[in-house]
Amino acid sequence: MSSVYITGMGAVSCAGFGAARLWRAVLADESNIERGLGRVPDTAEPGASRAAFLARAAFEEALAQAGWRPAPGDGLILATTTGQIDLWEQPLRDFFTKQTSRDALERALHHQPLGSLTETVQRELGLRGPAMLLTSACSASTQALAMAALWIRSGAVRRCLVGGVEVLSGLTIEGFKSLQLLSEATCAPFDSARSGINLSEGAAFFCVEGAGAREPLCELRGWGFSSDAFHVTSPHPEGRGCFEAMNAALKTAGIGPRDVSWVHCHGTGSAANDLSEGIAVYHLLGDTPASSTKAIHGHALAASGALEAVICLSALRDGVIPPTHNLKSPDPKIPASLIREAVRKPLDHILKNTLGFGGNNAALVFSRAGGPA
Amino acid sequence: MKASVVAAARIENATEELRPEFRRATANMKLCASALERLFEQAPALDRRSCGLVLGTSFGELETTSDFLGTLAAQGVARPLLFQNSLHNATTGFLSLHFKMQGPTATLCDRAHAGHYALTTALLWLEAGLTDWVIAIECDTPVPALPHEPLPRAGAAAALLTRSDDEGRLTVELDARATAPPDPLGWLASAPSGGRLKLPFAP
Repeated sequence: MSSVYITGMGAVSCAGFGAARLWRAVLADESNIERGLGRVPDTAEPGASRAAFLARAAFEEALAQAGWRPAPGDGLILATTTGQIDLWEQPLRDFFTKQTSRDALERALHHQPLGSLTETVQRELGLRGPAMLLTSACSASTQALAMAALWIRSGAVRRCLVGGVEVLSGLTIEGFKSLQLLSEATCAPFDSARSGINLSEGAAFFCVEGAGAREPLCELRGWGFSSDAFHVTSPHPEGRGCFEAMNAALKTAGIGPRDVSWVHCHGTGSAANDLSEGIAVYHLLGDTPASSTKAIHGHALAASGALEAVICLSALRDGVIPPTHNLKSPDPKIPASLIREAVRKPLDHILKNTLGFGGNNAALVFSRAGGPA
Repeated sequence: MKASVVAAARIENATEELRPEFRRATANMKLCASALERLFEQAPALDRRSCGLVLGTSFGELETTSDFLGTLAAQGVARPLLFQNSLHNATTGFLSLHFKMQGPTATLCDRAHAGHYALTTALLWLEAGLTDWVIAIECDTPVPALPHEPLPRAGAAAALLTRSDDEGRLTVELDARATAPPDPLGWLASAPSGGRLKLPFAP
């Protein structure tokens, strides 16, 4: 099987603009969550698509790092749950309260189908090759990276731009509030006193290519997907599906549990997620170091896997395992080996795990390009 | 990459049967469940637990999203059931739960080519060994809030695929030189045994 590499990355998060800014915030233990939400410092033009604005900032950084000029045949895979909701949500609510006309609503709703975001990015970059949008909840951008690897291995494309984008919206804020999953305090993944998640927004993009890649940031080596078939919004209590996805990712990568240097957990700070994931991580990987960084950048839903992949690649480059921020009193029911202080050591293989509503699980293995240190 | 089509089905209207397990289901969920029941009738020996599932949809659960936001705006009430059903992957979550499917699952959204990408994704999963059996399904229901948005088709079309290329069966394969039919999953549902669908990677 031919190898697949990541050669460029870019990120926008509540920590600010740029992959380096996000990584600095993680290393400095600098949380950017305010009153339970992680907002990107707002510089988008009023009336323009905020989702497209965040995407543009992230893909321009990724393309510059990889030295790519987009070519018409390049592939594009996006991940989002709400797309350009910023363009239509308020007009829809205004229509229901009789503050806007039917015509104005219909103009705004043209942006409602998620595929409109794909069309926007394709148009901006002049891409005419295969383009797909995944919306498998919080596992979507993890799946998107895996699908790019399959596209390249199959020969369907030579290069693929991959990204996750999410904006904060009334839909997600009020929706998660209705499920009693939001915390107004900064989240505390895996802590005994964890009280819920912090929604956030952001975007992260990657340039993915096959053999012949110059100066790769990592090899994208393994991937695994599974479904819990347990509950619509709660994970399997013993992490059955989560275990299967991570195990499949190790098998694809051709490595064993002892080869994994670090597990970057989904670790949202919700009671059920952290318990389920912590059990699965322990059963598969024993005392392998594990941590979550969501207390720094929040949970950007479909974009979370991509944003956290930026952190994985930064950790691989610098040889640093970041700790679980805000973890003061680890939940004794969670057996995983949770890291509370940064660890400096060469890293060879990082396992990135994600869980999503609908029981969607996905995991990736990022490996040092060129083999172990 | 070539795969055999073990079962295929096309559903125009969801069951109107008031089953208790469909009480909280959306129209898309009911349509897809009806299509999958047809597939499973044609493949009774299938081990559903490891079967993969890829859903392609143009509009997903936009109607439920509108219902959630409408209720919130007009009544100030955020209804959790509407929120969880508003996620576009709620349909695959419902199907995997209802049919006890624990294999790989993904939901794709594309205005015009959702079924095409669901089918090519299923083929790649088989090629890469992610699963030995996979269902590709396309589903959409008209969205009253989008009266001018063209709907590729209403209903659901599904196919159960496996890696073998048994010549006696209906087969589907990727071929860069082929021309894509507008409705590849619908095509499979009406094709004769022994027929062959060649599909370019991009529509």
